[in-house]
Amino acid sequence: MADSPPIPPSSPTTRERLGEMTIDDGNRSRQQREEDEEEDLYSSHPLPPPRKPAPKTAPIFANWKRKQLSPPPPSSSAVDLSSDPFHPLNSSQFPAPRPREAPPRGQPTRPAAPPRILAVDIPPSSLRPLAFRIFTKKHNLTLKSEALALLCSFIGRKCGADWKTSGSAEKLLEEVARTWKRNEGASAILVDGNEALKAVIRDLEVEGPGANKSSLLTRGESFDFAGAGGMSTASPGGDNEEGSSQQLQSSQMVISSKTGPNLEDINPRDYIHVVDAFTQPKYKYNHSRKQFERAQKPSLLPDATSKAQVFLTRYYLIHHRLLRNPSFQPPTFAPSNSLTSRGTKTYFKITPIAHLLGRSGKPFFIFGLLSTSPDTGQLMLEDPTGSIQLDITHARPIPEDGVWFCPGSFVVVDGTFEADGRFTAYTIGQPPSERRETSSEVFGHMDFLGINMPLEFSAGGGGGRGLRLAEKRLANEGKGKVVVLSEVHLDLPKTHEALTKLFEKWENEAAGEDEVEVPAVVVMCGCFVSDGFGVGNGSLGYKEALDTFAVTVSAFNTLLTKTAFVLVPSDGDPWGASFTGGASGILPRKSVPDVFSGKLKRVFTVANSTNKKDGGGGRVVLGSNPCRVGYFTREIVVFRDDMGARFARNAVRFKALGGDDGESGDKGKGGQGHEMDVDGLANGVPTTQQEEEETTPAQNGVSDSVKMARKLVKTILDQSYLSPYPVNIRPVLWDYTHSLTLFPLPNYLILADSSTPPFTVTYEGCHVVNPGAFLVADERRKGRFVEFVVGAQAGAGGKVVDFVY
Amino acid sequence: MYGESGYKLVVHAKRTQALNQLPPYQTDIVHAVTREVRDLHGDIDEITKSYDGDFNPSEDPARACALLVHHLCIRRNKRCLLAYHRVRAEKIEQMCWNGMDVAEQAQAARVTEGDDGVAGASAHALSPEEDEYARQYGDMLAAYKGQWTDIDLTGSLQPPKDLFIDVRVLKDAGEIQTEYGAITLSKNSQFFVRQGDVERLIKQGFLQKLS
Repeated sequence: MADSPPIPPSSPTTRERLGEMTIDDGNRSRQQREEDEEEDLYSSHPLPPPRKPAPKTAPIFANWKRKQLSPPPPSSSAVDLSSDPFHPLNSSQFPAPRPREAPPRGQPTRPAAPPRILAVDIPPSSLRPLAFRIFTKKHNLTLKSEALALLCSFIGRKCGADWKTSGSAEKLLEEVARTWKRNEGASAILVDGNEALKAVIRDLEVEGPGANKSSLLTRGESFDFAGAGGMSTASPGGDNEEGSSQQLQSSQMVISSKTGPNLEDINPRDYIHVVDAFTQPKYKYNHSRKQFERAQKPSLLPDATSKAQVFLTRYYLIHHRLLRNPSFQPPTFAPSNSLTSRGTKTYFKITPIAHLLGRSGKPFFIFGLLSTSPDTGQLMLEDPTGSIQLDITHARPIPEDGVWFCPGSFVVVDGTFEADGRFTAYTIGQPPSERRETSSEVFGHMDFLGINMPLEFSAGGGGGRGLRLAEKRLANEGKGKVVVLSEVHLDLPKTHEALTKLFEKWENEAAGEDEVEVPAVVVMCGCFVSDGFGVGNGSLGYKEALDTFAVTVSAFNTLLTKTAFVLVPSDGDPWGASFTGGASGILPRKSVPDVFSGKLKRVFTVANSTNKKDGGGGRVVLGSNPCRVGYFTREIVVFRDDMGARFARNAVRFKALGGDDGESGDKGKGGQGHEMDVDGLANGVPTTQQEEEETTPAQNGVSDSVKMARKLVKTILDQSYLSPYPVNIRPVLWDYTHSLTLFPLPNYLILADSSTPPFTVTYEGCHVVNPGAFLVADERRKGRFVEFVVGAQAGAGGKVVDFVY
Repeated sequence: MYGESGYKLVVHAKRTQALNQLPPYQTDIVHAVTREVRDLHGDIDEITKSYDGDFNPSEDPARACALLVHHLCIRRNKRCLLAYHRVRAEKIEQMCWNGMDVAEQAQAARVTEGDDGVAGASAHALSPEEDEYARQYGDMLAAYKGQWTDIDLTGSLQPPKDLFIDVRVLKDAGEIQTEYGAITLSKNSQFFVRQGDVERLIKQGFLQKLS
């Protein structure tokens, strides 16, 4: 019975088949109760939208592919081996080795044999009254027929034969309605059976063992009066009442208890979400409301307006960021107060370019996009109101030699508007960046990654307290280590020697008495073959390279089961490289295609299925470039691009300074309020490019490579954009530029740039690391990588590590 | 001027009370008021800094007066902010009780909004926090209603004259489910249906009641 085909949507079924039974119902409710208790311990604030854990089902049903926007559920392996025999869509889409029947991992308290619910067919007519009551009467939604059919099959699968009597169907429908309202906003009152509802259902499906865990720390129960008495049907065990009363106490408990969540129950690997650039949710910035709004699904071939939108969005984001900066805020009232000194405070007023008209000879502060004029080739500054020719013969950059100015980036210019229509610039500066915490004050409710982790969680929001606590404690235990390797040429034997050496070291440390955790995430950046994917060396060689890596890594069982490998392609990886020939392709770029990674994925799948006790989490993820990694409340952006060289090629050059450098001073605010600290590397690790002392920008006595690194980092983070070049230099997919934005600043930016010496630099609270090439070019048998522990107190910025293989 | 923007907020609040719809949230004014409070606080800090904690008002009445004025301004600004937000919160709650208004407003506004997003300000009356508030209040209301689904707590207080009414379809909505069966709503068609089934749809503007 269990593998009866699903109800085809909208086909009326005759009778509900009552033969199937829920096995072990008592067990289930006990488990549910445990779940509730666990949740009570961790839940704190009812924000963001609380989500009830979906009724427990056998994990066989729980391994659904999460909805498009989200990364795969944490506990299931990223390999899409989770197929479901009941679902017509999924099983046809994914290769289906076998359904997984693993018990919920990492939760030793769970009963060994999970209850199993057999699917039943529910005819729409018998579900209709219940659905109507919940959707229409309670939630003011109107159900369409297709939606009802979808719900019927969903309820049939999740609740089994006693859907009517157990009350679970009611709860589930409730949850669907609530999730729908949250996802679709208030205006979507017609629930139709399209993708959106399917996504909601998919989302609830995966709320199996793993997804529930991730919700434990973040969400409280929502107001559920229904739980207290509204269930007219008998709810077994009556654990709802228990749940809600404990809920009331839980908020105080979290605040009072300093011990925080029990770390034994937390598998940090469950909290690693790799977000692909192509599935990252898109929000468009509404500049008049100064808020982000959910945007339509991006398309690969959008219409022409979206190209303009790319620049407008960047302009308004940076402009409004500038306006939030205190130096750009006008004083609130006239400085009439003789008792205080505020009257003397000056501020910078940005004038739109159109407002310059007729005001020649006066000094202005303008802000816009630096570009070259299409007809004269002169430098221009553009903003939404107009454009103006720039004369930079007398201009000084701020800070001196501290940033790149490249057409395609946004700059603040201080100068005079001339009678002939040009703008003589005196100083040019980058718009100051904004710390993540500050951005979170404005956009705290936003969940930019689509992993139910609003921005405010990472910056002191009440809801994320438990998560941050767990993260900190895990970091103190040395868990949550991220290792970054770049330019891993997998076709070279010596790369594999170096990798083996490295993996052996980690395994031995993990097996030793210290039990040092193996890295939670290993980011490997391309190019994965030494001379690039292209005409000469095609798919066979490339596949062989990845297969060899599979062989190399297959010897290390701990890594296979505990580490998430993220492979980020460079310009030299397929398929992009097959037509660009390694030249800079379009950003963001797709991940390495699945054809090449079959064996690699299989190695991980096999290791994880034979080795269930470790709690899983080992996987290989083929990420896009750039891609993002969410780890607890932190955000890590991985980007593989030779930005340093591209800036050097395209940047605007200013006249060399004629001896005196006190001239420009601090006239513009562009360079103010920034301190850049190269993190000290006190632990004696041999590094090549690092300085120990804390310094302010561009001081003397700092080596050129550090200066270069700072220059690069400041430019990129001030621009808050990964491709601040003209589109002919670095083409971008117009509709996908939201994946390139660095606003709000991530916690970590992994900038794998082989044209810049390796560095670790911290700027405005954002740690930027560049590992350089994995195999050091000039020295024999020397490898190099960067490692950092996410959330660590000391040395959070990471360090460059050299080793001999 | 001290408290000027606070006054603007209060005027907005007063105006809101009289309106049927919720006007857009005045983010800029609210920010201006909070910034003014911060500046005033900075001033107070500066004045009291030199006294190191032992300030005797009777010795320096000028400064004492300045402090008092600053302090009162801060308090007044705070009251203005609270008043503004309370009016809006009450309005939102009322909308939740009335049923569809929050959603309807957003929907109506979406129609007027062009592609360029110029009309964006009017399209979104609620700030994100208010959105969240409305949503959670709606959830709470739904949970409260959940115990008595037979009685429509948010329904109209007017007793219906007939159980069945004539309705005309204004917008295509496809086949929709009611309590006792499905009906297909295609534009301009006319139905004789149970009033309880379609009350929501009338409110949502899909149907029009024919008298």
